[in-house]
Formats: sequence, C-alpha cells, structure tokens
Amino acid sequence: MNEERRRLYVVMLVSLFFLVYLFAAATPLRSEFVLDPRWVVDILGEATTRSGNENLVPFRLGDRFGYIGENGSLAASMRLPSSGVSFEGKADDDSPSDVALSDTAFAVYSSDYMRIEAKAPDGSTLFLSDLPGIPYFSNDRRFLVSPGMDAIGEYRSDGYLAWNYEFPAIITAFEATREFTVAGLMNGMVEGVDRNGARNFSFETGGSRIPVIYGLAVSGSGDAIALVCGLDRQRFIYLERKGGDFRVAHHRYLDSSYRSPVAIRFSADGRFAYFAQPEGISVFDAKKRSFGSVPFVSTNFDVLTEGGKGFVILSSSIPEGRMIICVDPPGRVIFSHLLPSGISFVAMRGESLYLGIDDRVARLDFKEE
Amino acid sequence: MRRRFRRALAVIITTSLVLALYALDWPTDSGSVPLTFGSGNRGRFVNGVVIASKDGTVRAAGTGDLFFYLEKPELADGFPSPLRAIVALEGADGMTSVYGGLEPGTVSSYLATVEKDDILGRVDRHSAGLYFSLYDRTKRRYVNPFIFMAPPKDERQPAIRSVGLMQGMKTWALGETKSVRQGTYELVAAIEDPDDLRPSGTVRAPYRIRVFLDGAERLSYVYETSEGRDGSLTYFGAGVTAAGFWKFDGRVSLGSYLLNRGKTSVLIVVKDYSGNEREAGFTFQVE
Repeated sequence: MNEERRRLYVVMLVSLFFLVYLFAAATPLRSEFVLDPRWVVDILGEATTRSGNENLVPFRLGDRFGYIGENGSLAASMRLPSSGVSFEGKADDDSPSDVALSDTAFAVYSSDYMRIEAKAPDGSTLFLSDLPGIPYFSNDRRFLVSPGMDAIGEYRSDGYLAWNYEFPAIITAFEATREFTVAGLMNGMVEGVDRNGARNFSFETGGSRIPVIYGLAVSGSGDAIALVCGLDRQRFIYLERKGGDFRVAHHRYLDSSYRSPVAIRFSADGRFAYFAQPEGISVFDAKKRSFGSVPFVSTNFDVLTEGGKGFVILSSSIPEGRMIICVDPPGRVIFSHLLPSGISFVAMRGESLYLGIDDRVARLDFKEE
Repeated sequence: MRRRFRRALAVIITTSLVLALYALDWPTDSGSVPLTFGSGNRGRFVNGVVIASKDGTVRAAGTGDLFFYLEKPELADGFPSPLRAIVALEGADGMTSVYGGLEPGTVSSYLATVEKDDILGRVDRHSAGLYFSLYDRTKRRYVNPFIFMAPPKDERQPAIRSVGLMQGMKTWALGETKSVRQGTYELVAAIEDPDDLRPSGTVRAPYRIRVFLDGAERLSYVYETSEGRDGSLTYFGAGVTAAGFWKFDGRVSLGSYLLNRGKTSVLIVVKDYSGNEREAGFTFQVE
C-alpha cells in the first residue's frame, strides 16, 4: 500500500511539474514575416502629378532613372543620354553619361566632368558647377568629388560651393553624416571634415604592414566610427568620440586580407556594426564589445532598415544573386529570401521594400502574421 | 686594350646609373603624356600624370604588393570613383604607385605580388589615358612620377602668354604697358607645355618656372611634389595652393612683388621635361 501511495505521489509530482512548466515556461510562438505586395509601376509610363508632401523613392534601372511616390505614382522617369554633353552643349559620344541620385537631388554628368547641373526631383535647378568632378549626394548633402579622388567640395542649398577640402591621399572610404564627413584614405589616415569644410579630427590607423582604409561607417549619432583597415594584418577598429576627438575603444585583428573596398554598416541605433568577412557578415556589438556572425558570405551588402522589433534587414549580394536577410541582432537569422534573378534595384523605406526589374518597380510591405 | 676596357666600363657605369635613376618603366606603350604632374584642371592641380596608350594595356612600372584595387567605378557605399577602376601597388621603398583610369572589369585583381611589366589592366576607352601617380608614404606627399621614370620626349617649347601685373581687379598687360605706378603687384601669366592630346579645359604643366626681377631670381617653381595639410594640397615646397596659384582664366600667379621707382625688368623662364626652354622678358618704367 505504502509502495503504491509512494508511486502515486511521484506520478502526481511529475505531472504537477509538467503542468507548472507548461504554463510558466511557455513562450508565445513568433509571428511570421510575410511580404505583402502593394503595387507595381511601369517606369515607361507617363509621370503623374503628385501631392507635395509625398515621400519619393529614387530608382535606377538600366539607363532609366527617376522617382516613385510611396503610393505608386510615377513622379519622374528619365532616360540617360546615350552620349555625354560637351562643355559647348554638343553631344559627345566619347563621354558616356551617368547620374548621381538621392531622395532629394539628381545630377546627370559625363565622364569628362564638364558642366554639372544638379536638380531637385521636380526638375528645379539646385546648383550648377563648372568645376571638374563627379556629384555625390548623401544624407541630404551635395558633394563634388574631384577627378583625382582626393578632394571633396560641398554645395550649399543656395547653390554656392561652401567649401572644398583636399585630402593628403586618395579617398578609399567615405561617409557623410548631417554634422560632418569622414574620409578613409589610401595612406591609412582617417580625416573628418565639419560642415564648414574645416578638419575636425584626424586619426592614423597603423598596426599593419601596409596602412590603408578599406571601409568605414559612422554611427547615426555621429559618436562612433567603425573601420576595416590595413593589410598584413587586417584590423577592425572601433573609434568613439571622447571630447572633441575620436579614440580607439576596441580593435581586433582579422583573418581576412581583403584588398578591395569592404562593406561596413551600422545598425540605426548604432549598437551593431556589420562588416564583410570571408566566413560571413561579422557583427560587432559595441555595447558588449563582442563579435557575432551572420552566416552569409557577402562582400557587398547594405543595412536597409530596422524593423519595429529591432530586427535588421540586410540586402546582400551573394554568388547566386541578391538576398534579403532579416536578422535578430547580433546575428540570428529570422528569415532569408533569395530574390528572383534580374532584380537590379533594391531599396527600403520604413517597412516597405522596393524592387526593380526590367521596366517595373514594385513595392512590398513587411508584415507580421 | 686598356682604353677599350675603360670605354666598356664607362658604358656599363653610365647605363647602370641611368637604370638606377629611372627605377620605374613606362606603364603603357605610348610616349605621349596628355597631362603632366601639376597640370591644371579648371582650378585644380593634377597630382599625377596622364599617359596615353596605343594598345590599351597597362603594365606595372615597378615591383610591389597589390594592396588595393577597385574593379568598378565606385566604393563599397556607392561613393563614385572619378578614377574609374584602380590598382595600387606598395613598393619596398614605401612608394605607393596608383594606376587609375582603368576600364572596369579589366583589373588583374588576382595578382598579389606584382613584378615589373605584369599586366594590371586596360585603359578605360573613355579616359584620356592612364592616370598614374606616386605617393611617398614616409614623407606623406605626392611625387612627380618623372623623377623616377624617363621623362617624355618633346620638341615643342613651352608657351608663355598673357603676362600681366595685377593689383586688385586691375591688370596691366606687360609688353603693352610702358609704365606702372610704384606699389605691390601680382605677376600673372598663361603658361603651358603644349600637347595635342591635352584634354579640353586643362593646362599642361611644364617642369620648372623661374622669375627674375632686375636680373635676380625671385621665384623658382619646380613641379616635383605636392603635400596635403589641413585641407589643402600645397605645391613647389612653397605652400602654394590651387586657390592661390590658378586664376579663373587659366593663368597662374607667379608671386607678388614690390616695384620701386625706376626702370624694371621681368624675365620669366619656363622649361619642360625635355629641356626645351622659353623665355619672356619685359622692361617697363615704375613711376
């Protein structure tokens, strides 16, 4: 009898334990992400008038470029001239044209760097430049890169050249924030330039047989810079602003020996720095000073956006094509999706993904179900 | 016998000296240089040379480690490369050689250690030629490649035009002006070493410019190095910036001089890489 009772107690105890475990340790199932198609636009169609406060997304597909509204209206669609335009205004077949494109400006230029006219999406002139160079737009700022790739000029909103900064060596990495610009150079130096065109900091990387900057990124707050630099051996360096200067807060020698530019990006909150490595996309956690990895080998990727749940969405070029990867930082992959071949344009605004293929641009929204 | 031996020895020594002097070979098969070091490109200095090519092949001018290449004309973040595709080599002497203006997709990125004459890529068909620059890491400055390479051969003399004295917005053209008032004037001139392949809008630089005032040398600009400091590249080892050197019309500033009363003579002497020289002299009265 005692034996039976003891057995009953054990069964009851075990059952109770499982019941408690079931209710106390249970976690809700994760919702699934789905891509909800919203619209498809034919970029060869007629441009429509748009409401003034609608955000525009720039696109470039082959020799066509323009702007699309978030609601699917085609705000502008232009074709690049097959030949450049000479200084005298004549067609110049030896100088093919290209376009610098951002949310707020575009400028068609030819390879002989003759006169450049930067325009707003509505076609109004932003600035005219007779200086030689290539326009580059970033973070609502308008730059001109010198033909020797060792100087940067910035145009003000009133169309005048605000400043021109000549670096001591060729630029190999660059990022512009709203407050300052940072250039990584072929001689291993990093130089920051403030909004008035004055040098606000300078940093010499060293630590490798051949000093050179392969990639750099500035955090959204502007308080941290991440670098991949040097050859033999290659290093990752994390700089933090201390007072008015940037100092090394963390560094690590890498197994890589890249000799071409390396993609490196911060997450929007500045906590994680993603950079290309041979074994996958490495992730540096600036808070914990630790490293993780996203297991997708890619030398060219972009941090598209951060979802509301703190997920990071990467667009990555892999040998098979372009892939969209959703990551729970630092490195847990929530999902990955190989895009159909032929997709040549990928952009993200908020929770919306814009894809371009042939003559069409589509919008798909990320949704949790 | 002894004389023949001495002659042979002299030839060997001379050849060795020339080879040692020119440590770098020409990277293309053309002897034409559309733009020399320090040439002007609408108010900017060119910190290298642009060398034409007949067959388009670019070869290593010297040995080195290939430490940087760009296969497409942009950096990782979309920042454009006006130099198109690029290869950079690190020489044992700390001299970085940069080969720009290459056709995207033609770069020999598989090379790690490069020997002299190895093929590095092809000149971009839309470029005026190969952009070739040298950077001295130890002294942190660009160096004129023709210090290390045989200079281009050329029979044309440099040109000196539109020499004038400037004071504020006013200019007195020398050759036409017989007298100026006593004071400080900026000497300006249009100076170039002509070449048929020079891209439009550019001014091809000579090797050296000298200015003599009343027989005394007052200025000597030798196109050898440029150095970056605090946001400006300076030239001639004299702190000369692009903004201070280039005038809006392509003329150059040759310094400011205090002219005292009396007869004054100005002589400008310009020399190119082949030793061709051009002089322009002016005499006028300072009142």
